[in-house]
Amino acid sequence: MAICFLFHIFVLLLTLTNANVEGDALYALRRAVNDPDNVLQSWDPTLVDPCTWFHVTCDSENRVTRLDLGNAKLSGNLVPELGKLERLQYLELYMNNLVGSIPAEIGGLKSLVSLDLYHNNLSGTIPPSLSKLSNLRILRLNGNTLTGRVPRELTKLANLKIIDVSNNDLCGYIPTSGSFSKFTEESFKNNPRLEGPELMGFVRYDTGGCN
Amino acid sequence: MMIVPKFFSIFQLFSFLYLFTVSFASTKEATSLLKWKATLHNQNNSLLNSWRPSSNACRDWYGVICFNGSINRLNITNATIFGTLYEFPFSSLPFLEYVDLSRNNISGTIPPEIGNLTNLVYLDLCMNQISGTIPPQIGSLSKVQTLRLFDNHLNGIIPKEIGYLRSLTKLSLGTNILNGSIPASLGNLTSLSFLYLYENYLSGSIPEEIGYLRSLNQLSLRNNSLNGSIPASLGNLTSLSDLRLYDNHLSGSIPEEIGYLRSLTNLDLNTNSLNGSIPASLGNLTSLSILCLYENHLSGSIPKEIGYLRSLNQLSLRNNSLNGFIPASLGNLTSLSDLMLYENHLSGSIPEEIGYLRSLTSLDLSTNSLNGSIPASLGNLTSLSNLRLHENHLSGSIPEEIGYLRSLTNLDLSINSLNGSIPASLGNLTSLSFLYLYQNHLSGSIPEEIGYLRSLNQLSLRNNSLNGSIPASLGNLTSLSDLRLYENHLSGFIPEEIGYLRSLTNLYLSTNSLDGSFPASFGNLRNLQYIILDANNLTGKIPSSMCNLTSLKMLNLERNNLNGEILQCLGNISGLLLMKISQNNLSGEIPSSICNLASLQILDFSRNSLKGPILQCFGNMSGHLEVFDMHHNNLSGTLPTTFRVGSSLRSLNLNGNDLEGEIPQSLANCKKLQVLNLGDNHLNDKFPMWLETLPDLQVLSLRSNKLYGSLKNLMIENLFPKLRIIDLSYNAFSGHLPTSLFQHLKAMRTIDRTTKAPRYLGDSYYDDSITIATKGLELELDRILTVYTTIDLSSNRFEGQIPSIMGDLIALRVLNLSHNGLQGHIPPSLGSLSVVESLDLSFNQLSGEIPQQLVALTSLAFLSLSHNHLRGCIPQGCQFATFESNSYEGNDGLRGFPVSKGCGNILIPETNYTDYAVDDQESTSEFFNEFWKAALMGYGSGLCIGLSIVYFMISTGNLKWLARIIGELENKIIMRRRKKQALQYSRRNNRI
Repeated sequence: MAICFLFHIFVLLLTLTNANVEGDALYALRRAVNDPDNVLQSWDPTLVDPCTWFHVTCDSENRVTRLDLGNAKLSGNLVPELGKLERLQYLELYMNNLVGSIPAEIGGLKSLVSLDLYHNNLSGTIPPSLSKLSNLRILRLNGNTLTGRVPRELTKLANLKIIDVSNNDLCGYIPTSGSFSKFTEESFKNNPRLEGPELMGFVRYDTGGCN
Repeated sequence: MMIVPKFFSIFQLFSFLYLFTVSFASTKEATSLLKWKATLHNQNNSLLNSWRPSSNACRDWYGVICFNGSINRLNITNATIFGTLYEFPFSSLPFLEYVDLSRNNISGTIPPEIGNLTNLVYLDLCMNQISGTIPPQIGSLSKVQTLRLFDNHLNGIIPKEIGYLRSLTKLSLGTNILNGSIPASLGNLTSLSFLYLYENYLSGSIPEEIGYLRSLNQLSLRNNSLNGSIPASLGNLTSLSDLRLYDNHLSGSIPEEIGYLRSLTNLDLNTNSLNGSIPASLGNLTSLSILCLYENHLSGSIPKEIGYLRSLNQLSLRNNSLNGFIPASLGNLTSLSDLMLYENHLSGSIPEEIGYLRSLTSLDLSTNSLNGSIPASLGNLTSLSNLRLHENHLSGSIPEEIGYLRSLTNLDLSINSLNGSIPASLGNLTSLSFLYLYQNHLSGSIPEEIGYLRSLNQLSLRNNSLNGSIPASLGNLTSLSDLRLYENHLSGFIPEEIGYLRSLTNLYLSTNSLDGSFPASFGNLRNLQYIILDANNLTGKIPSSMCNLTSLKMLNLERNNLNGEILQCLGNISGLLLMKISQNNLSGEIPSSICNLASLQILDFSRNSLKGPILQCFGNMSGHLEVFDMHHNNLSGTLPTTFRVGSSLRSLNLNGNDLEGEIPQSLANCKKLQVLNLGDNHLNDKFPMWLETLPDLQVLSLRSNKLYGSLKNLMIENLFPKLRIIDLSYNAFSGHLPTSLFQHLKAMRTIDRTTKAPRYLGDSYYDDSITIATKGLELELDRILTVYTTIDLSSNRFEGQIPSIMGDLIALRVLNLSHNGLQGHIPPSLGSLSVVESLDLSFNQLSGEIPQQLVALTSLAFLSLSHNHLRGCIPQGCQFATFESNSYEGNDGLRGFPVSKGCGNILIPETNYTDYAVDDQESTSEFFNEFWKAALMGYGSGLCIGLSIVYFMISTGNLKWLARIIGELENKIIMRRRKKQALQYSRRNNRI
């Protein structure tokens, strides 16, 4: 009985702490972006959890599951703190003016289903850590200025249904193995330095177009 | 021998003649003075009583001194004279050299005839009620050395003729209402040693010519409206010991040349608009005892040369924009008693050397960006009475050595990042009256030794991480009036000894883990005005001794585990403004005595187990009561019907009780009502349309009652102008959705894009709260954002179509029309709800296709269209990629992602931006083509760009023409798509 009670307290504490961690993580994003239309005006860090903030959705345990900020005129950087949103399924930040690189910590969002960062000004490389997003179904990074290779590790994403990395400055070869076997060139077009589909066994992956 | 008597006789004759004329003149002078005396309002004044025609003016009159029989000095200062100078015999006193009429009640103006007193050396009219201007004739007083007119009501300008008074050594015109600028002619007064023009309305700049006054010892132009910069010529005034220019509008930088004034002991340039940096040359002013540059816009760092000013007693540079480090050289200023550097941008750490300033009584470095730890050397400053280091970034622990500062009365280290525990040595500071350590990271327990601080008046340790229990020794602090320990981790009981704090007026212990019941001694705290104990684990009953606290204004016990009934005698605390005991385990009925609390503004007993009726008398309280919150209790019976005209009621929350009957019409008297929450009861009535004119109503929840009938309104202007949250769900409302109501609701028609910080309903004493259904879950809003906008009409019996006009309510975040009998199409206008996050139209009879326009809803996080009769292709792009099949289930005619692999031959959901411009034959307008391409850019993610931009434009502006074009375009897209589908379908069929 007592153990059960203690366990409950523990779970309760854990939930409370998590709520604050998630609120803090989101608030870190607020601090890192410029928000001319004040779409983040409701993001009040003094609240117990972020579940009543606009553009944030929680599950019944008050854990953040969605962040919907597409077309919100945000500029500035993504923050590594986003990686703390353990139950985040949808990260929709498309059509903004976000700059800088995609934090590798995004790869820690183990519940993520959809990562939509298309039509921003993100630069740097696609973090190979995204290959840890085992539930990922949609990955759209098109319309940025991303460089480097399409990480081959992404082919491990068995649930991936949509990938769009077109209109970037990627280089190297398009991976073709794993879940990538079903994607058309459409998903990779307009990357002038990206060479055609990788010819398995003939060309070494780490050559071509990336020097 | 003959010569001597002859000479004698001639001398005698001469002197006789002389005396005769003189005594004659004196009589005339005396008579003229008597005439003046006759005009005084209190001529029988005890002092002037000696002024009689019968007596000898030169010998017997008060304040009159003659020389050679002629009146030479008139000294009637401080003689309570009431009168004017209009009859003063200026022309009859030709030998007058000294006049002192100061400190009387002389009013009226200075007559121009004053210029006749050409022998005057000393004129003092100060501290009277003299008004009017200074007559220019004053310039005739060419021998005058001292001219004192201060503290009168003189107005107008300073006549330039004062510049003729070349003998002047002291000129004092301070504390009048003189305006205009300082005449440059003052530069001629080269003998001047004191120039006082302070406390006037002088404007313009300080004339350069002041720099000619080389004999000047004191210059005070303070408290005027002087502007411009400080003339560099002041650097010539090498005899100057006092320079007071404070409280003006002087701008520009402090001239380097001030550094030449080596005799200076006082330099007060504070409260101006001076900018630039502090000149290092000030380091030459080695006689300086007071240096006040505070309240300016000075920037740059503090020059290390200030450290040469070894005579300095007071140094105040506060309220500037100084940056950089505090120079260690300040440690040389061993005579310093006051060091005020607060409200600047100083950074770096506090130099150890400050510890040498053993004469220091006040050290204030607060509100800077100082970091590092507090140097232990401060423990040497044993004369210190004020130590204020608050609002910096100081870290580390509070040094033990602070305990040596036995003269300290005021210690403020609040709002820093101090950690560690509170040193027990603070218990030595027995003179301490204010101890503020709040908003730090202090941990450990509150030392027992705090109990030695018997002079303590205010103790604030709030917002730290202190644990352990409240030491019983606090009971010794019998002078304590304000005790704030809130937002810590304090546990254990509130000690019985708290009852000894008889001076206590404010007790704030909220948000800790205090448990146990109220100590019985609480009733001794007769001066208590504020008891704020919310968010603890207090148990047991509220002791009846609480009712002894007749000074009480606020009682906040919410979020504890208190039980028992609400004391009847609480109704006797007549000054009570606020009583919040929500979220406890209170039982029984609400005592009727509460209605006697004639000042009560906030009453919140929500979330308890109270039962019984809400007495009619609560309606009568609405004259002063602003908040009446009883939500989540077991109250029964009907609502009070006695809400009064002129009601103050702002928030009425009775959600979640067992109330029945009708909604009282008298609520229409509550014109200040912002929140009306009657949800989750058993009310049985029609929709209270008579609430529609309440000008401030922002939240209306009637959810889950037995309300019925249709929503017909009276068709008047401006219905529910501020309403933003309306929840009528789970009732039996029927008929069509109220189109005419949706035409109003002004507040739902604008999106606030200017407010940066969140604003909530309520104030710092009470937050309104509500539970709303959004995104498929119940969401508790502990505070209601003023911009939260929702319409929930779900689970009723509404029928007919969804009015297209709902698309005008663009501020909506939540729209729930589910579980009704709605028919027809989903209006494409819903695509204008650009901030909607939750859209639930499920369980209706809706038919037709899902409008493409919904793709523009880029904030949409929850969509439920399930269980309708929708058909056709599910729109794609933007948020639609994120909805799963449960959003659409129960519609047999829907196709495409996510319910099926594709829609027609279009491959969905791949982001292959299918080119729609296949066959463009029926394109009638080039413009439409271009526009279409620009707006729609493609099928997938591109579509939402165009649509969302376009809909944003439509929803914010009044672009009717554009809306028409878009309408046509939409049609066109759909037509094309159908056509293409048809084409492909036929091709495929042909192939087969």
